[in-house]
Amino acid sequence: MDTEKKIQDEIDQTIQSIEGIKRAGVNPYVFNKIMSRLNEKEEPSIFAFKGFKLAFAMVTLFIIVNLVTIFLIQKDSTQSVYTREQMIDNITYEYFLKTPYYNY
Amino acid sequence: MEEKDLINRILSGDKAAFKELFDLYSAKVYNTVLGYLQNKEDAEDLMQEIFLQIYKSIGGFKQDSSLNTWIYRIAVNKSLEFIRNKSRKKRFAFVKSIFHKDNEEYEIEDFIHPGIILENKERAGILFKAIDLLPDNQKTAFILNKIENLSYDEVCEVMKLSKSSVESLIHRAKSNLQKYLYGFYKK
Repeated sequence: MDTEKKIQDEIDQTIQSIEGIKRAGVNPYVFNKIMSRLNEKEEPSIFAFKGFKLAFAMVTLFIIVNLVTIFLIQKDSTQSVYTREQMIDNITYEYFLKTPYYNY
Repeated sequence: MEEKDLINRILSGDKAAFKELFDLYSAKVYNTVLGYLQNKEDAEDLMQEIFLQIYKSIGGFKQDSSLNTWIYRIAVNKSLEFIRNKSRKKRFAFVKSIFHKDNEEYEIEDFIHPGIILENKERAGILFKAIDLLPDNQKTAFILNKIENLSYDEVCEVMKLSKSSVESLIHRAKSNLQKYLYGFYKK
């Protein structure tokens, strides 16, 4: 019984130990740290701007390369149709498929 | 009116106005955060985050509550978020420790609040460990009322709860603390 009472006294004293607690002082350098972080964020980053320019140039280059490739492919395909026809003609002539003079 | 003026000055980029706001609220923010984190370095780091958040989002402050309440809310939410992230890291460290046996275990340091009088420091250290075990809502109500000395009405505003809910939370927090401390002193 005495032990229970002793424990309860300890608990009560412990809970009361924060009564009259005062506010802890703030480190005076914290504000300077906050301001330097704010300035870092506010200043437009030169690297970010350069990065944007580089990205824009790369995208433009990519589009140009694509357009040129498409143009060359189209040009090449029209040429290749012509050569293909020529090649077929050549083959047919070579194997006498179109000549009226072929005799068995 | 003064509050509105201060906000407008901050919004217009007046750094001196932001310093005024910092001077007004830094002790409140720091002590609230300290109550949760129980670590001076972590509390200072989180305080920086909180003031950066205040600076960024003060334009969105709708003034449906006082600036004081709004800042307390940010401090409470950021503290709880910080604790959750740390617990997540602790769980990850535990998983890692299963695979790497040399991994050090995370230990909570003994915390002595700087605002406690010398003769109560040891007991307060035990009480803070017990506070750390409380569920989030009870912890918030207890810290704001008993450590930050906010009135019940102010706690209601910060927590967006009715007075009876806050009273109930503080009552449950006290009975839980009694249980934890009983276990501690019975050993």
